[in-house]
Amino acid sequence: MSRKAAIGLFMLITLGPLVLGLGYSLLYSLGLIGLMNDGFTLTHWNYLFSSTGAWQSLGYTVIVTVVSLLLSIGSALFLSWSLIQRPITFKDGLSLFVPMLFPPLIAGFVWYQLLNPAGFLSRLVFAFGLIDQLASFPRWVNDSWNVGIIVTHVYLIFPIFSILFLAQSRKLRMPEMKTLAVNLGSTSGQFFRKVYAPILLQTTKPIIWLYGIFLMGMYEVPLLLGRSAPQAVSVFITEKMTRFNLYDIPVGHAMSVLYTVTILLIVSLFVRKKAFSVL
Amino acid sequence: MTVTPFTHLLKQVGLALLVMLGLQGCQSSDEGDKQSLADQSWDQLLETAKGQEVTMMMWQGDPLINRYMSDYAVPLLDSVHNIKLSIVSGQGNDIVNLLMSELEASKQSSEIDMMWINGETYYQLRQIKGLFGPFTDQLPNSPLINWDNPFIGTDFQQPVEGYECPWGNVQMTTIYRSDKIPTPPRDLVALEAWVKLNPGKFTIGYDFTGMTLLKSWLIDFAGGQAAIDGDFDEATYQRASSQLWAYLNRIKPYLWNQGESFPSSVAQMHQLFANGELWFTMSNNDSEVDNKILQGVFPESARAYVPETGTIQNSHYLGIAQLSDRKEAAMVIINTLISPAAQFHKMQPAIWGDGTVLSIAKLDSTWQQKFQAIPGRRFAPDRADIQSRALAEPAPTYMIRLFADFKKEIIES
Repeated sequence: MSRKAAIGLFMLITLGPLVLGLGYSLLYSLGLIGLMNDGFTLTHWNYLFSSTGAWQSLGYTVIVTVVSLLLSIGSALFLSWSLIQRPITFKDGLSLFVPMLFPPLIAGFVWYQLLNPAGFLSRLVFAFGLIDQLASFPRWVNDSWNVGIIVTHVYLIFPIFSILFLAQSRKLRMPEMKTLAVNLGSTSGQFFRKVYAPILLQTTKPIIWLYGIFLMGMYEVPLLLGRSAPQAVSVFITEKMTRFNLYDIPVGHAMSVLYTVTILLIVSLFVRKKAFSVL
Repeated sequence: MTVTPFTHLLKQVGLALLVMLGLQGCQSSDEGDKQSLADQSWDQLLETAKGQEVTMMMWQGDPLINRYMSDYAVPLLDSVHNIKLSIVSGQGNDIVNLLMSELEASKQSSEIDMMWINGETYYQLRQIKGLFGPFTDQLPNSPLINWDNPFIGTDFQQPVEGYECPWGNVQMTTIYRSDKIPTPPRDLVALEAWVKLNPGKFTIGYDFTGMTLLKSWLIDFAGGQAAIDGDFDEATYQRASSQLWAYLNRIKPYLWNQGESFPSSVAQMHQLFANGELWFTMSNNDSEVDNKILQGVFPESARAYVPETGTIQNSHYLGIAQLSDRKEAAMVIINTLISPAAQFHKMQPAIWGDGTVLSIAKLDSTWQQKFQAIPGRRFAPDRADIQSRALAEPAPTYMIRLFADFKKEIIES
């Protein structure tokens, strides 16, 4: 099979379903298909655009994703910075790989059990006499600051970024560059700020975007650890499509289309073609 | 697997291929099926059903219920009727979404043949014409069912019309910690006072069970069952729901998590109750408290009661998928599951504790004695004692409106 044919087949397998699914959702949202639809209508789109819940859901999802990404990337940068100074031990590797073994659902449950007011941490703190009753433990799940969701997100992707940054920094010979910079009069902090972090962020930008999209689409974690409102986009769509009102299903499809188009716009506006050359 | 909007879209692929490429399957042969089945005698149906493999979709969230099906129903059907019954997990929206997708794709046979359905699912399945029927008149055990009971013969104010067969009957109960609450609140006024005195220990699920509780409160604010019976009435709903939202907003700051979030399932409510965060939970099955204590999930101090405001009593049913091509076997299974023996076994608290849909008076004396000798519940109230506080399900639109407005008026406010 020629290279072009192989790429074409790959595109057909990966993009084909997405295009068909998007088309299906678009037709459904416009009332053109679906058992409960009676023909072309913009009612569902009008409802979506006039619904504050939908916009809150989109905004909320973006904010939680950005905060989770910033914390994950920041922590990973510092960890990789400290690890490139010395050889990586078996324990280092194990502690980075273990979180990646957890599916998001399991990680969500683990953090729920750790952080909820009747959970492990709360009981531990209570046993040490630091709080007078379990209910005094701060609420870190289903809370307004989304602590539980963000912690779980960071737990899931921080190790991936750490490994990525470590590999990339070794590939770019950062330890040698640092030695050179220090010999030329730079401080470690200056090297980190001016060289290490910017170069790593620049070279891994596509992967950061992809993980951002991955976090935005996360379902189980916000379902388990989030509040009832606002909801993550995935939870909002699922609720519209699966709850009691069958006439809400086209609204769920409209939200799917809106979300997908938003993601495609972000990718096309902010991710340059050449950025993928590092992959 | 993480269900992202992308993967959701991907899941639609098979369906999209059919729809977008304009492939149209053959029309359902429902009318033909109906006629052909109606023309057959029960013996002929039994003969046709032999050797068939039937897939049933049902909620599998309770180990006792699962055990009843796997250890009692499945072997019984295999040995007596040579029918292989496979149980797959799914409820309400799973069933509706699956059957809806199949109908939209003009499929000729369904992945599932029969299912356990509740009122709101019945309403949705009738909307999409996803149920086969009427079939119940053909079942030899159908005359034993207590069809005259309005909690059995009518589902969400809709006549059953033979499109689903009653399987069990339950009444909602409120479960509480008797070691923490010696005298549970008997009405909404007392509940408000209690919640304000004990912040964080009470909440309402943002799910079917939570909405079932709200329906009983709505009936109370409407002025009683008679005020809300019949078709959905906008004026009645507005009048009663405005009082309901005002009440809920008064107690919201004192609910679990200051009313900032609400459990999304009854399983989450039970978990919060079991770990001591909540002192109240709810169940649509009046005997569940016994089951959960037996399983060691709830503390021994858990008790169930029905407040004076009353709670919804309803039945759960068995339905046959319109597109099933094993309807004969599904009918034989349903007939077996409503037999006195199966209903008797299911009703025992240590097995499932599900209320029977049979009219005991119509059974022979031996079965009557057996049913009367079923040991009583230890922690749940007797059915006879709570029957006077049983409320009928209002029309389905009340539930749809409550669910949407609860989000707008309470969660997002």
